[in-house]
Amino acid sequence: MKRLFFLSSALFLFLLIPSEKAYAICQMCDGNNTLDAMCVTLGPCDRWATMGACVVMERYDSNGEVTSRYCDSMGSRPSVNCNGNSPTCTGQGTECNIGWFDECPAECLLCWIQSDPWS
Amino acid sequence: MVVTLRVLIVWSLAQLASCAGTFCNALERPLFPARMTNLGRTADVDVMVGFELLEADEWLLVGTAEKSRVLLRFSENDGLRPLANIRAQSVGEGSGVDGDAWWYAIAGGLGNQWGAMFLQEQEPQSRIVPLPFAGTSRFVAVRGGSARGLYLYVDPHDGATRAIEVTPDGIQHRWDLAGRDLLTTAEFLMAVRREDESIALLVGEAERVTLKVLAANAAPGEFVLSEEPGFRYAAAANRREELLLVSESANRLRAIHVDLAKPDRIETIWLTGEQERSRFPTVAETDDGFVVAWIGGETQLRARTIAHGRLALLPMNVGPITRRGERRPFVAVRPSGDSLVFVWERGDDIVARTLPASSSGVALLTSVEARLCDRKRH
Repeated sequence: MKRLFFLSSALFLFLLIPSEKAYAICQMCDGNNTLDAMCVTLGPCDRWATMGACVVMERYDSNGEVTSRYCDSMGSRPSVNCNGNSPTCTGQGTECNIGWFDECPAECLLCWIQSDPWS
Repeated sequence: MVVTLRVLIVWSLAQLASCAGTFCNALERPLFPARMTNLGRTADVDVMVGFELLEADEWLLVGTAEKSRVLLRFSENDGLRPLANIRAQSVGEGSGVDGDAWWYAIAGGLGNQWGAMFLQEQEPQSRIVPLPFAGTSRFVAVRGGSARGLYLYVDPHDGATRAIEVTPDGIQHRWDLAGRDLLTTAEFLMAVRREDESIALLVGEAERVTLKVLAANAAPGEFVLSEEPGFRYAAAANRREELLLVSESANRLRAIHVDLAKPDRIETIWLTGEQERSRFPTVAETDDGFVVAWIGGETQLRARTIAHGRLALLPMNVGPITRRGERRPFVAVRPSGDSLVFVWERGDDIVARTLPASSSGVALLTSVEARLCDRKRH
């Protein structure tokens, strides 16, 4: 009975742990080694994911306060689904001109914002 | 005799009060008033990360938003207006002024490319220079002169740390750097172009600061500037090839003054005492030395000048500052003629204050003004 309990618990835990594919995520670090370091979750069509999991770790000064932060990948790598590998992804890299109140479209890498209409 | 003396004292005090009244009436407004510009209404910016003074009343500001950077221009006539929005997965960025024109550089993931993007005021289009992709990489703008950056990366093929000098025209030079862990332990990187066109790269770690001199077709030279514990570094170099590196050391600010032509001659200057905690230093070069700004006692922005290697007698109070969360507060200072322009973040506002370039003079004058005039104004 005891053995059955342990076996079913182990099976339950095994099912609970997600496979890498099911929970594939694409992460990169913005501002690594600064106070503003943060993990950025990228969409499947974004490129340059460097890790699959990302945790922000902190370094401290002599008063115990944060001096800088860095991203720890915990040894993970980005999944094969990351970095624009899906055929549905379209290219990015256009330079666009937009109006004062317009959003920069997703396909534009750089948007130059034109002077405001009242000036 | 006693009566005469009393009359004389009363008369002297009356004269002094009368003088103070004339002095305060002449001032009418507080000395060197601060100016506030609301940022929240103009641009969706999370954190300000860059500032350049173009003319006395024109600035370039760089802010971060979600997965993008926003370039803004401020002028007294037009107020704050957005210039450009860049989608980038940044490993570093920076800006500079060449003559009167600004430039901005950012490196990392730029759409389908990995490289460095340069935006220049006098160029209608951006330029992207492809760089070797590396999971561990950093980029710093090279201060002094035209648009230029230094890309540092751990080569995934052999694990070596390399540096590439890059300009809008392409890759200029490459170097192999000593220290395999350099990019994971460095908390501070700063690069400045020297007169002989070499690059001085400053690397700040928790208990060590090194200066690397990167010259064309030569192995990098290396000098250890400090092996003392230091945090939250800031640095600047001036036209006289002097470098000032400031760091927090316990609760005080320590500066290391270095002549780049003789980097083994190092002078240590203590900028603040132990009477209040001094944090988050910012440094800028001036014509005759440097100015250092910092947060004193958690709520006051203070500054002190160093002219011809001499520390000003007194620090000046620039204004009140509030820090949002655990972020590094945005503070910038730049020289403008005989004045210093301080710009800092306060809530949704950007506050600017122009003060004379002598911190001791400002400290004395504002102290006299506060003592004589505050009671009269209220």
